[in-house]
Amino acid sequence: MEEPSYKFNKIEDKLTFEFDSVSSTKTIKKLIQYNLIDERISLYNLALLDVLPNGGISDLSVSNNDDMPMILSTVFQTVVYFFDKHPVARIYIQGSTASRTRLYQMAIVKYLAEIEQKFKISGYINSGFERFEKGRNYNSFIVSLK
Amino acid sequence: MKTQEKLKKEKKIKTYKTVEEAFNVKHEAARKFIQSIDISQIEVLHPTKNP
Repeated sequence: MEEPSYKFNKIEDKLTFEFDSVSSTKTIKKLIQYNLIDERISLYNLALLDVLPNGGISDLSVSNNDDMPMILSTVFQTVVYFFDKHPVARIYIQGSTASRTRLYQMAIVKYLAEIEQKFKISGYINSGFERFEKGRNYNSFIVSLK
Repeated sequence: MKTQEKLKKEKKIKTYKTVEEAFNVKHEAARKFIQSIDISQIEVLHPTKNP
């Protein structure tokens, strides 16, 4: 992806990453974690959280830092890093809300040609997964290396 | 009035006390969903590769 991304740090030995979303008014810490949710198919869930200024943790906050493309690009960079370490794994992705899932879908569509050079991507719709196609509104996604 | 609306809106945002708790909730929800579906369709779309 050509979008600039934030520098991220890996936390301890776990599959957790952190980076700061920065705007002229505030900085918000973002956390990404990959967790094995189905051993049979080496499926890992990707979860994204915000650490709020009051110390609370949320997956629903709207930071309004006007840097969503940069955040998604950073998430994508962690996906690349993850597959470098776990090439046979698959990643399950669902936004914390329908609108956030829609944001992910828009980002996938924007870079689909580039993404499909390296990854297989499918979407969940109408009670099943199918190969990702533009113009379909998916509830969640699965990504694996080609 | 505006303050009350703001408070109501802030109340809607569920927050967690710890990072571990928040991640556990999200991962568990994903795990339950995957357990509820036929994973063979995932294996077809994302076939297992040799490491």
